[in-house]
Amino acid sequence: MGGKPARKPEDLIPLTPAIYGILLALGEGGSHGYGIMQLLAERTGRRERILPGTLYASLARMVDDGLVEEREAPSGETSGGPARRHYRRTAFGRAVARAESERLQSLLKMAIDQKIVPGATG
Amino acid sequence: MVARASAACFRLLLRLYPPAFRARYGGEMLHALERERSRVARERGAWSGLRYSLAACIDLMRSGLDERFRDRGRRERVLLSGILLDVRYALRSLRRAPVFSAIAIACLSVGIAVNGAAFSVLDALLLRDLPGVERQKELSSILLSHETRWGRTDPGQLSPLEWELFRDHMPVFTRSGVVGSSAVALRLSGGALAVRADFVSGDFFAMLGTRPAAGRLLTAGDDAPGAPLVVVISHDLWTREYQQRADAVGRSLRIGDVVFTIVGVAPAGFVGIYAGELTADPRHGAPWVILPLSAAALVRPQSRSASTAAALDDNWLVLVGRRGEDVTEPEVEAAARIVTTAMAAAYPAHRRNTVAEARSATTATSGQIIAGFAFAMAIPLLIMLIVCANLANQLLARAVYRSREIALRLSLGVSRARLLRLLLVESTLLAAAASVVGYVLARVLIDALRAFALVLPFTIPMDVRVVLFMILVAFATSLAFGLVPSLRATRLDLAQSIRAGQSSGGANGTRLRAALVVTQVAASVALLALSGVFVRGAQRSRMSEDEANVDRVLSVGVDLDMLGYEATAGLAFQAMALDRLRSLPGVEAVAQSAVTPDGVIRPARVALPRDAADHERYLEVATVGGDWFALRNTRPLMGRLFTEAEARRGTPVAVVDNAAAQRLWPEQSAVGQTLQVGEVDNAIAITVIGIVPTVRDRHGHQDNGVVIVPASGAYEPRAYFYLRTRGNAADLREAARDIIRDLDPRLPGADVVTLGESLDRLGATVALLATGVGAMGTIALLLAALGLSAVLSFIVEQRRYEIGVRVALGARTPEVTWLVMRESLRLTVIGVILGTLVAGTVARIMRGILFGLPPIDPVAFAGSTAVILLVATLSSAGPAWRAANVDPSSTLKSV
Repeated sequence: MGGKPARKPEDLIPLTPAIYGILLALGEGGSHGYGIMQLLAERTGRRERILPGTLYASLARMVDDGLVEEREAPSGETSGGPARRHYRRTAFGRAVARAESERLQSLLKMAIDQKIVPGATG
Repeated sequence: MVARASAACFRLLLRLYPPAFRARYGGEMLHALERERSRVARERGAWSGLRYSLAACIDLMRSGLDERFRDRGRRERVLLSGILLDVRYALRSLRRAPVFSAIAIACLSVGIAVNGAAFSVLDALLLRDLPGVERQKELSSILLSHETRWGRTDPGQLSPLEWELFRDHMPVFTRSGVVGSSAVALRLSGGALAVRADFVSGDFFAMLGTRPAAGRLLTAGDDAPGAPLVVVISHDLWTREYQQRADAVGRSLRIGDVVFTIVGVAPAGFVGIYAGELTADPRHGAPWVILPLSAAALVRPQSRSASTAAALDDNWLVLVGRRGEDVTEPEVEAAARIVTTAMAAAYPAHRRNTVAEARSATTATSGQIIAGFAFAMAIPLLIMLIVCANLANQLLARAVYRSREIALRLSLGVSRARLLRLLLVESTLLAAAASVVGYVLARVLIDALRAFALVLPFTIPMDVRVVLFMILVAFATSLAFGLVPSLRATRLDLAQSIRAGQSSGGANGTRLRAALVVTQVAASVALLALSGVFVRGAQRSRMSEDEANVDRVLSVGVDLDMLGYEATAGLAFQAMALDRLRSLPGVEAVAQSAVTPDGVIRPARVALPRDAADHERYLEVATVGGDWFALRNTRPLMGRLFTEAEARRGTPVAVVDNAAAQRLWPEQSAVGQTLQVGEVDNAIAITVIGIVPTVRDRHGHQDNGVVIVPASGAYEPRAYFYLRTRGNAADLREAARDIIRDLDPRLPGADVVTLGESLDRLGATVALLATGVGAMGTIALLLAALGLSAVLSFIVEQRRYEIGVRVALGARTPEVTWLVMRESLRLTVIGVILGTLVAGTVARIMRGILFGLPPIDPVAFAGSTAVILLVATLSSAGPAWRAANVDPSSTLKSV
């Protein structure tokens, strides 16, 4: 397992919306695939949706790139289905999310300046 | 259904991912997909669930292909993304024409489903190995027929004496055995039940290659004289009576009055080599118990026959053998004919002219049912033909309408190859969607067939080959009619097409489309007319009885053979039963006869004094006791009827029906004539005292000739008691059953039905066919109406200019309307004529196979023609209305 620390976060920028969404949805905790779908939908007020095909393909790629890592499932969890892999964001993943957020922030700033969206208040 | 379909789609699309990926994530993905889909469906309704499934499928397709081609070269990825783009575009364009897409998918999927289901059933009955039978293709059965002066009899089963000759003299078989079926009284915890029992010779199970579900099966040792009495029970009985407990083996089971020990359980769905009549009647379905042939004499009175002649007449065994390596059926037949020669030597008086015939032992049910099915197969195929004609029509219309779009794309520089690929993808998507829906529908249809029509003890697996074939047909159709016109369209004169808005399909195109409509109309006329024939066939069996009578007469069938009653005890039982039934409230008349409630009368030899010694003639001879004539409301045409007292005394008199009178004494009156009834050595001379109207048999035939004679004290163990009541006969059902149970609680529940119910039961198969064919005919008609309407709209569109000119020149609405209607009528009438010819031919062929079908019926044909004309008129109303409302000024200006 393990990321590839030789790479810089900027190498992976820009991220696909799916990967960016997964990184944010995972947060500091961790979750399994189906949970990520739910978290993303909940935390964006159901504006963002990720479909299973894209989700698992993205997760596979993110594991390869060291953005997330698989870990043991918390004990006592029952899925009611097949055994599920749990994922946690790595430090590298966090750095990449941060780089992508900064990139988007600069774009967002332009939109705010042009009064396309109202500016964030506090 | 949606859940099953989308799960199937998900599973299929997962195959796009590379195997390693699938192994790692597949299970989890399926789970997530299913869970999310059901959540969406639950929270936001079925429609949202469906849309979610669709979106998820496209996502799977895209990311799956992405994953698979991740490490491939750039060229492949570009091609792939191009195809994905095409898929997206095709989906969009199909969504933009929702009516077209929905109709096309619906039509195709119905065609696929009907064929898939029908051929799956046929496959399960005819081609697959039956449950518990290994390599059924290697099995042959041998049937015997006899040469008589009227020709060869139908090939039939063997008697035990004949089996003894065959047993050791068929070296072409590696193993052989016989099986005979008989109804027995099975004594269960809930009371006695009449069920089918199979009696098998020692090697039978070994020959089939059956493995037991529990315990062991029967072996040669069990069939030896003096062996302990053992029985193998069916898997269903094991489940029902013993909850599949292992300790069922070793228990005792009472059959008739004999106690057997259960030694094993047959595998689930085991039917031997004969699935039975596909009804819920336990006497005629799959076997409940399987006994050694040597036990037959204990529970089956016919197997105790003392004389050689009687034993030879007891033809109840089916001989089955497994052919040795490289042995062909003709070789089996040749070997069997050597045995029949020996048979002629052993029984010169009875088996001089016996002919053996070898057949493959692969038909699971009676020949009639198979023949019915084989013919019914023509209908799904006809439906598929209509479906394809319809789809072709719609695609042709669409191609013409789309020529403008295509021309535009070409002029924008899209390559022809790219355009064709796009159209190909569109056709594929249509066929694919229809395949998924069709597959699910086929499953539903098979389940419905099993639930309502065919009681089969085993499951019917989907015949994947047929479904694949139908998908291929669907694909080919959508390709041929979606692509070919488009191909032509890509060679259009661009400038003209863009300007004109639509090109004319040309005279050829219109002719092709008209031909397609005629085909559809013809096929639906044929189907509707055939269903009419079936409906009337089902009614016919009721019409043959006095309508008022059938619901007032109750029949109570009691088979005393099940308990092996001796003649004296049996006669006493019957006399007591008749007396007690007579005392039921509301009973006007009672009678007793071997004639079954559905009118089966056993034939017997009938001779006239002037006949030569070896002349043989068989007529249906009904022996009756009690107030038979009063019960049946029969009045004499000539002479008189015999009274109940005469019947009881056994006076040697007879009443013949008109058909018999005509056959036996064509030139003189039958009354006063004498005839002999019975085999040569024990014939009885009887005087005819009256003639009654011709008795129609259960299939409506009325030329058999029936002789009615008094029961005269002869013991007939399988008797039916008939009660005629003042009210509704069905009300006495329970009371009648109780009387029989009181008389002998060991007897299985009596078979109590009103004459009406019995006739309905008889017509049930035909009625089912009528419903099925009628439903298909209606589908076909709707499809034809759609096709007709589409063609007419197209013609109106094409002739818009001409119509505009006519209107401008003063043509009035009726004239314009007539212009369109004339076209519609022309196509319809041609279709009706062709369809009538087809239906007439099919009905004639079917009459030879499904007995009891009435001849081609003018009412059925007139009815279906009227329906078609009505539908044609309705479906041309829209286009005619549009034609009548053509605005001449705008039409003329636009050109």
